[in-house]
Order: sequence, then structure tokens, then C-alpha cells
Amino acid sequence: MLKISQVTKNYGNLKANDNINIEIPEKSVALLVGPNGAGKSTLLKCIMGLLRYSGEIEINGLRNKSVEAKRIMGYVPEIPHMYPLLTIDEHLEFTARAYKLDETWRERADNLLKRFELDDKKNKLGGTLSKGMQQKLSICVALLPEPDFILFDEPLIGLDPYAIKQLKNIFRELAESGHSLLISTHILDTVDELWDQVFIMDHGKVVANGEKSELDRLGKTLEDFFFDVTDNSLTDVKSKLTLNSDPDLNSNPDIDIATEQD
Amino acid sequence: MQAFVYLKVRTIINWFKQLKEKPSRLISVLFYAGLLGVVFFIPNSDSSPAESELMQSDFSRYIISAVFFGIWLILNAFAWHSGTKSGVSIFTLPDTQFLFTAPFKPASILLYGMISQLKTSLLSSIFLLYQIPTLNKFYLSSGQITTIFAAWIMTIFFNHIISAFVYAISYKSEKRVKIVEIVIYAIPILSLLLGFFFVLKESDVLNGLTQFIQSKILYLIPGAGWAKGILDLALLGFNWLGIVCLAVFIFVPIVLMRIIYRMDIDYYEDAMSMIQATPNSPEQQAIVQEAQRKAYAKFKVRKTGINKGFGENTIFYKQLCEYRRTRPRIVGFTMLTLFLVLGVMAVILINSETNNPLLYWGISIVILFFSAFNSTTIKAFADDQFFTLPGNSTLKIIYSGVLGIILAMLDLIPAYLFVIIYSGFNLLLLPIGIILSGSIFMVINSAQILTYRIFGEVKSTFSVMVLLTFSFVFCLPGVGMILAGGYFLVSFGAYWAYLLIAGGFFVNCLLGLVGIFTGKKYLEEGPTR
Repeated sequence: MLKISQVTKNYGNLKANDNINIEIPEKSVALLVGPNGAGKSTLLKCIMGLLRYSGEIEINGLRNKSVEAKRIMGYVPEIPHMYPLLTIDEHLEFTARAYKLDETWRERADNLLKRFELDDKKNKLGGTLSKGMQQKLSICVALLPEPDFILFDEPLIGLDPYAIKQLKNIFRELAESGHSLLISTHILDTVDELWDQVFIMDHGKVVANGEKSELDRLGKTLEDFFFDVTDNSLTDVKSKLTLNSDPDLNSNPDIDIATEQD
Repeated sequence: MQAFVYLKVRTIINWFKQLKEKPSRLISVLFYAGLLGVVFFIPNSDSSPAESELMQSDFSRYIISAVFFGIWLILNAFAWHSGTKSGVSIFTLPDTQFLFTAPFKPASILLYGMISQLKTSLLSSIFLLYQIPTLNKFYLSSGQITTIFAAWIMTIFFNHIISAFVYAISYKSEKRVKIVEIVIYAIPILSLLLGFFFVLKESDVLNGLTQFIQSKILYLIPGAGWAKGILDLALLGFNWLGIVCLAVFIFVPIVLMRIIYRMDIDYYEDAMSMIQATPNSPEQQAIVQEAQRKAYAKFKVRKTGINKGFGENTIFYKQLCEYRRTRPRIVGFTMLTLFLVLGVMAVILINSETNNPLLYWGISIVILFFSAFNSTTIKAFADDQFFTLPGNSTLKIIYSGVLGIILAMLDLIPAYLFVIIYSGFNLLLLPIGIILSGSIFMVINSAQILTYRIFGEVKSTFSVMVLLTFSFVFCLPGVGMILAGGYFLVSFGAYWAYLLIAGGFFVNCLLGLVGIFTGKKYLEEGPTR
């Protein structure tokens, strides 16, 4: 489904993403977790084709920057930005037109708006929406075209408890209906027990990855795994890593610096 | 394409709809529309037969052609130059979320962005309508005036397309940017050289320039030259080259659009970095900090006087500190332009009867009118801290505007000083000229505060148009009285004219106070954002 090969993204001297290799199979929910500044949002932007990078990213065998790939991808950015002079309803209609959706989009749009309690605010202009409402609309817009693969960048930020519950239900429904999700977050219980795969990023690298089934077998929670990997002491990291940690980790002297800087 | 059209149409409809909820905006729109409407009812004043003959002569047509050609040449250069910038600034943050992630070709989005910029350019070209009475004086038919407008619109459209094209071919290559820059400078320089050639050939400046402006070689210049060809076709009668210019002007943008559409361009990152005003992620913060560090590293950090501030006037010292840290050089573009323009005028007019201080003052005000829109009060309004700082609101507004006015007045000093000394005028005119100019900056500052209060920003096309209109209208009474007073004083030595000048100054001060009062109210009500 998603194949990221040797992706590196530099901002001047700063390596925001450093030789990232990730594969996410179809119909799976993957988590991208890591501390602030780990490079998660940058990686998501690279996947969406919003940034220039070296390496390759493919979705269903399509180059991620192609129009065909965009058609099967959805993206909920960390900070939503709405058109100030379009209403909530018009944002959805614009999306429907942009993705050339069939007539059924209206029904789906109404359903999404209802779930996120935006149905009675349909005619409110984007410029008058609170941050939380913008985030809800942003999610509705990403889900409307029913993309096969959806990227969520810190999706819970700004949402009220009710909307968080709704979004978690939506994650469950999407996972059950065979959509693939990549959720970037530093809130570890974002998807509760729904996830299949986790990638832990730190200092621009994927320092470890694991599957839920393996963690379950070892009796470890996601939180345990995360702190094991991102612990300050390199010695601890080396001894504690029991899953599919980066093979370079033991030999890469950079990790010393990375962990000490934490 | 359907989605783009929908986006634009709904935005325009909603813009009009929201006017109902914001009466102040509605009033400003009606005021602006009313002012435009007035233009069509200005009667054509009678002129003497000799004047009338001159206005109808071919020579007057050459002047019109030359003026428009000159303006189009400048617009061309700006458009080409904007295409060489390392990022495109035509998109908004919502565009990055809705357009960049949608299944559109990047080239389609770029073209959409460039073409939607047309609205900005066309709205800012509305001032052309004010020229209708002037064009009527030249006895131009409505068809000829329409052709001028059509050529203008075509030029602006072409400029946007060429800007997109230049960007698309050069954003990855510094070498190509350099080539484009060479072309940008080469066109006006070659045009000037051609002008000199004709002047030398004719051994007479006027004849040479007339020959130059009639030269068909100018039609070779992309954009400005083709527009001139169309204009000459309408003004000077049928010629085949004019028809060719028209055909080329229609054909080339279509070809360029097709080329852009077929290109695989990857500019989203540039566009996003240009419009993300505040860095959100640590990576972005790192980029911005690094860029700032490099930019500031060039400048020597000096004592800026921030330690002198206390209470409300801290705002002034903070602005002064920021200004000196980022722009340590006093000599800027405006100061140089004023010095060059007024200096050249002084040299040319040294023995002329028309050489009087009023002329220089008037010209400097026209130049400053377009360069004085840098109100430090508006900048302060954009900062929430300005609202929360304790202190007297009136004093806060006054202190926040002082620096902008002082800086604008500083720009005048070298030019005024040169003109006064070179032309042998009374040195007392220097402080008088600067004080009178300062009063006009106060008026422009008021117009900016008022516009900001109505729109909550002075960035959108319409708010800028309203700002220009407010500034123009507010400046009229004061400048009118000062110029009238100056005229009577210089021409007839009428001492009562001093009263008129003083009256103009006080009118400006009064309008300045209106701005302070408006700003105070806005400060107390809180930001509209």
C-alpha cells in the first residue's frame, strides 16, 4: 500500500527526516509516534507530496505526487486552515467537485456533519469557526472522498471530548471497512487498541517499529515500548529494545547524540 | 476547473453577503463605488482652439502611446522579476490544505493562482477610470478608450502568465534565474539606448523622442511592445504590424499556458514556506530561526535606545529597536528616489520660470503618497500585546505612529536640502516643507487606522483600494489648501496666503486627530480578529 524508501528531508543543515524506510500494508492502521520535533509532520507532508525530498514514496504503486495517488489519499493537517469566505457546506461541496465525486457525496457529507455536530452550522463561514470546529471540518473534508489511505497529523488536538469519541469511532469504522490509516501523534492512546503497526521517530529517524501482535505477546503496552525506545540512556535503549528496532541503532554513533539531547 | 470556478464564485458571493453584517464595510464599499461613479459625470471643460488642435494632433497620440508603453514596460519588469523569486506568494494557507492535497495537477493550481491574482491587478487598475476625463480631453473616442483599457487588461493577464512561466522554468535553477534577470534589465536598457540613438540621430531631443516612440522596433518587446502595437492601431490608424501584435498577444499566453500545464513542477514547498507566517512545528521554527540568524548576523547589534522607554512610550522605543536591528541603513529606496527625481528636476529647471519650491513639494507628496503606507500603528495593531499593555490608549496610539511619520519625514531631508541649496531658495523652506509633509503623513496614518478598523487588516485587495481612496480623499483638503496658498504666495505675493497654508496644515492635524481617536476606540474595543 504505502512504501517509503530512503526518504531524506533536509531543512538547511537540519535533517528533519533521515533515510526513512517504511512499508504499511493495505487495510492496516499505523501509528507514527515520537516526541515533538521528531519529524513526524514533515514525513506526513512528504507522503502527501507537499515537500521536496530525496527518496521514493509510492501508494498502491503510484508515485505519491501524481494526481491518481492524490485521488486515493486523504490528509488531516495538524493545523486546519479554512477558506474564510466559504461556508462549512461549501467547503464540502468544493471537495466533492475537486474529487469529482458522484451524487452520493451529499448524503455522506450530511452524515459526517451530523457526527461532528456541525449540521446546524452548515452556513457558518470558515472565518468565523473556532479552532475545534475547523479541525472537525478538516476531518469531514478528508473523509468525504472516501480515500483508501488517510493521513492524520495530530488529529485529536483542539477537539472536544465528544468529537474525540466520534473520531475514535471513525478510526474503528475505517479500519473495519478496510481503509489504511497513518496517524501521527504524541498522544499514545489516540487509537486505543486499534492499531496494527507502530513507528517510533526521534531526531528525524525511525528508531524502532513494531507490530501490535508482537507487543501483546511480550505483554508490553505501547507506552512501555515508546519509553523503552526513547529513553535517555543509550545503554538502556540497547538492552531494552526487544522488537524490530533500527538495525543501525547499535552501530550508529549518532544515536548517542540523539539520546543525550533528549 | 469546475471546482476552481466554484471556489471563486462562492467566495465572491459570500463577500457581498457578509457586507450586510458589517455596515462599516458596506459604507466604505458604497463610498468607493460612489467616488468611481462621479468620474463619469465630470463634464469636459472647454479648451481654446489652439489647445483643442494640439489635443487632437498625432503628437498628443504619441504622448499617450509613450506614457502607456512606459507604464507597461515597468509592469512587465515587475512581473518577470516576481517570477524569479524563490517562492510563490500567490496562495493562501487554505489553498495549501485544499488545493495542494486535492487531485489537481500542480500546473493547474499554479495557473489558477496566477489567474485569480488578476482580480487584484484589475481592481488596482480601477484608477484608470479616473483618467477617463483626461482621455476625453484628448478627444479620444469611446472605442479608443476601450482599446486602452483592453490593452491594459491584456497586459496584466499576460504578465501573470509570464510570471508563472518564468517561475515554472526557473525555480530549480539559479542559472535560469540569472538569465531571466539579465533579460529583465536588458529590455529597458536597450529601449533607453534606442531612445538615445534616435535623439543623437535627429540631433534634437523632442524630435528624437518622437521618432523613438513611433519606432516599430518597440513592438518586439513582449507584452509592453505588443500592447503598444494594439494601442497604436486604435490611436494612429490601421497598420498590419498592429494586427500582428494583437494576434501575438492573444496567441502567446495560450501557448504559455499549455506549456505550463504540461510541465511537472514541484513548487508546493516554496509556496507553503512563503505563506506560513508563523512557524508551527519545531522544524519550521528551526528554519525561521536559522534564516533570521543569518539575516541579523550581517548587522552589527548596537545600542538602540530601548532602555530609554518608560510607560506608553516604550512602544516607540520597541519599534525603534526593531527597526534599527533589521534595517540599520537610513538611506532607502524612497530617499534615493526622491533625491534622484527632485535632484534631476532641480538641475533641469535651474533657469526656468517654473522653478519654484511648490512644484518640488507637490511632486514629493505624489511620490510619498505611494510610499508612506507603512504605518507603524497598523503594525502595532497586529500584535495582541499592544492591546493588553497597560496605559493611556491615546498615548499608546500616538507613540505607535510616531516612528512611521519620523521615518517618512527623514526620507525628505536630503532631497529638499539639495533642491533648496542648488536652486537658491530660502533655507527656511526646509523645516516648513518637512512639517507640512509630516502633517500629510498624519493624514495617511489616519486613513490607515480607519481602514484597519473597518477591515481588521490592510492586506486584501479591496481593503488596500479603500485605503488608497481614503488616503487620497483625506489628503485632498489639506494639500489643496497648501498648494493654493503656495500658488498665491509665489505668484502674487499675497500674504494672506500664509493663512491658507496654515489652514491646510491645521486641517491635516485635525484629520490626524480623527485617526488617533479612531485608533483609541479600536484599542479599547479590542481586536476584531
